[in-house]
Amino acid sequence: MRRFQTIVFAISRLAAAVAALALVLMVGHILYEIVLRYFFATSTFVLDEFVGYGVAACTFMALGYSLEHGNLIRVNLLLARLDGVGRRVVEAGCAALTLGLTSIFIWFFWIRVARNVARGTTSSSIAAVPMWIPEGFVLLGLCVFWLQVLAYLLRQIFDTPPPVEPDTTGHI
Amino acid sequence: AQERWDLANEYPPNSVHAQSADTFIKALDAASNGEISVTAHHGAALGYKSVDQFDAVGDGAVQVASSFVGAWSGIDPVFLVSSLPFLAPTVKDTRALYEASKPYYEKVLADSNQVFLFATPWPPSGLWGNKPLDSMDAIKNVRIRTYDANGTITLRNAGAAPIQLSWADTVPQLTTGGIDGVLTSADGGAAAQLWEHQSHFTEVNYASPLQIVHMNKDVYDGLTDAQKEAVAKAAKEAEDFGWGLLENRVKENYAQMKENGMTIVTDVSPDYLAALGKAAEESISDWKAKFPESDALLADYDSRRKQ
Amino acid sequence: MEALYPAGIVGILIFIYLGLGIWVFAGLLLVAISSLMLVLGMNIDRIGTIAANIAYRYASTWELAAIPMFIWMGEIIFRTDISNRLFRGLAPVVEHLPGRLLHTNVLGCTLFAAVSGSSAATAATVGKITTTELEQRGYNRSLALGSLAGAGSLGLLIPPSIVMIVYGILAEVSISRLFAAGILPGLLIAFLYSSYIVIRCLANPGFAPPSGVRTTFRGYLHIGLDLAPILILMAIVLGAIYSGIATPSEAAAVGVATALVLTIVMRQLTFKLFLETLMGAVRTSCMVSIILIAAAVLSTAMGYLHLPANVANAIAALNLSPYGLLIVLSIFYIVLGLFLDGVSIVVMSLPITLPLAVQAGFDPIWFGVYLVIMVEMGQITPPVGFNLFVLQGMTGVPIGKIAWYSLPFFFLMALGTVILAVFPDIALWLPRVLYG
Ligand code: NA
Ligand code: NA
Repeated sequence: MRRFQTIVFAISRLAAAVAALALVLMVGHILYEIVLRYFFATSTFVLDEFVGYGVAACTFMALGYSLEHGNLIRVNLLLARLDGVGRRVVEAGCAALTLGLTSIFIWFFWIRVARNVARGTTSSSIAAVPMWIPEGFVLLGLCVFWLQVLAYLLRQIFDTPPPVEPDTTGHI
Repeated sequence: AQERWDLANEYPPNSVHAQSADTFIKALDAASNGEISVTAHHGAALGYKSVDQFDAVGDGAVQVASSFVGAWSGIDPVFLVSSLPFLAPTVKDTRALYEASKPYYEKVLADSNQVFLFATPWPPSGLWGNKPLDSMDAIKNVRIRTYDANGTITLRNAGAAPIQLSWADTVPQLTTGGIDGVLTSADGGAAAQLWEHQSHFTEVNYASPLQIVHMNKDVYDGLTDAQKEAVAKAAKEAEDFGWGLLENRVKENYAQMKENGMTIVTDVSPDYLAALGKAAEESISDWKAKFPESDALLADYDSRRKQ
Repeated sequence: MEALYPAGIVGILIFIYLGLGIWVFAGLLLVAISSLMLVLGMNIDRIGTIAANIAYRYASTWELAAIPMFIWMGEIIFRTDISNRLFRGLAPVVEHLPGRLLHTNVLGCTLFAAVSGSSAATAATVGKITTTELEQRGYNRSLALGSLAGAGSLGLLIPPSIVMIVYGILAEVSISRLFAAGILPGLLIAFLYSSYIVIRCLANPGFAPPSGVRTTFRGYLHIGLDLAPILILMAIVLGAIYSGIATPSEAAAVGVATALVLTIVMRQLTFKLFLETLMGAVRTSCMVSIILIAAAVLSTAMGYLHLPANVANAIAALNLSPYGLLIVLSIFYIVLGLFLDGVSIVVMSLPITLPLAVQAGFDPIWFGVYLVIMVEMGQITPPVGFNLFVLQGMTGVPIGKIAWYSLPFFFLMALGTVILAVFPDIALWLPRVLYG
């Protein structure tokens, strides 16, 4: 159980490292574009497209990691009034619903990615990027999140502690 | 049976394609005796862009959509033909190219579980700028915002400095002088009131790409014969409306642009157009390499053009 | 009104799912899926296709990109000396103003609104910098969070603004004029906020702790030195936009680069700190972006239900007088703002409400400014209010409390709207002067 938790959290952190890299690359691409346009009157011609892929990858690849750090917010009206078994039951219910929801999204993103591969769909820009790549990152991020929600659910059922303390920076 | 459909369209309610779609909806309501009622969602109100609508219609997420075909060029290269630069400079040519490519559109859409209903052209794109862009010297090093890969290749070959920007960033960049000009139709520029930042429009009839209205095949197959007939009748009516709109719309736009102090540069020299055509050859040969049936399509286009 | 029946179902679903304590983004997605199932009887195949399509479309938009980058810039400021210096520098400046450092929220958001086009980015960036500082110094929490939620939404009214660009494209009015028209109303609302803080703090001196610092002559000299980093940062980002070097959407990357260079020059940046700011930004922006993506799916569901369009049509049928129309439209937009995000509100209602407004004699530019204020009000109303989500994520204070703290600022925006309706030139004067 502990081993499973550790492995899943390691996967989430790895995915978050990819998300962080995406953010750095987005900033870099925009700065490069500005330099090209302002000093050389040219362009990479794919800025909005690539930065778009970056935001999608950055968001979905970081989902599991943000969940574990307690950054994905929720309305605490009910949870704050509960503790012990009652709280764990509600938590498990929320996790199970989210797990089901994520499964739906994984299935329909899988259909999209598989179709993009089969049809050879590319973007319409000069770069003609195969669309399964950016959408594949979304799918991958969803799978990592699915695993992390499963780990969360199991923790509620077996009442074991989380691998990290929730994020508390900036508490007022 | 009573049918209630949604129609998705990325472009604003006043755009030519929203008007054509509205015409289709009205005609369909009349032709089906009110049996088929369609709600339009212009301005991407349902959240779909043209590129998404291909699968959204095929999968039945929406029943009908009006989509810019250039956005589908990554799905099948045939959808690029109407955006190829300087291939069809007149309205008559645009129509001939449409007739020649229609069977290919129908086939690709049918393979993806949808039915081609009709297509209407965008007003021809030209060069907005702060001087007449009517010679190879005049466009040299001018920073022009383009909207697709073809425009980028063609303008780069012509010696200009194409810049790709999102439409939302285009006006702020014009305001601050980050770019000098815009490749778009008179209509597109007028809608954004580009005359506040630009003084000249040079008519080069760069391209008049198509907008296709398409519907889900399962929904279509579920219609009665009378209803299918109503759909065909309404499609015909809307298509005629859309093509008829073209020339009037250009005249209206020019009048409005002049009223706002713009100079419209027409009748540019044939040498200039020939040089631009030469600059466009790369994007046309790129397309030919991607689309195996291009020779047959272009031969059909040429014969229709000569009729 | 039959049109309100689906609205009731959606409202109940939101309260059930979010009340259960599920993650907000998952709750919104479940509301979208359930309402399409219950009201329209769609099957899961169709719903899944719709949801995946819209989620990918929205997740990969260029307009969303400024959010993670501005949040990263905020992290860099927050985790280095720049934020301490900012407060140390400002303290003597606002010393004699009742409310003292509470005004940094309003001032900070107004300034930051001039570089950021979104409300979520404004609230998140300024909030990251101010919330901890204000708490440590013992300022009244209700005023600190409320003013931040309210002022964060100025990001939409003061140019550049994503909502205004969307409005300009749909309504076919000049985006430059719209931008110019937003400036004075934005400053007016900022002024109303500051006045409110002054009044509350005069009535309750305990809301703002005594500074206890007597500023010496040397102290005043230090102000410039302390404020220099943040002023340099703002100047470079603003300068990049207004000189045309960067587009408003690109300004966020310039902000990140400048903040990094500044912290290197100030000898504050270590690799460890760099990673901390980066991972902090990834987590916060993941939270904000995923909620925005879920809200886009919910908006699409509302579009399929024809909800905004049906209600707007019902309003059209009432044949109201101009001011009557304005009042009814305001109620309509406030209700829409409870559940929908900004751009969706504009996109779904505009085809019906704009012709009504123009027919009633309202200037389309003026109506754009009015609509942006309505959208701003929706940012701070529960259950779906982005500034509330951002601040909950940032501070851990429950959304209901933040909404309560924000309520006075909601009414101040309503007051601003009334003033704007009586004196439309507050919006229309500047574009007339600039563009004739
Ligand atoms: Na702004
Ligand atoms: Na709200």
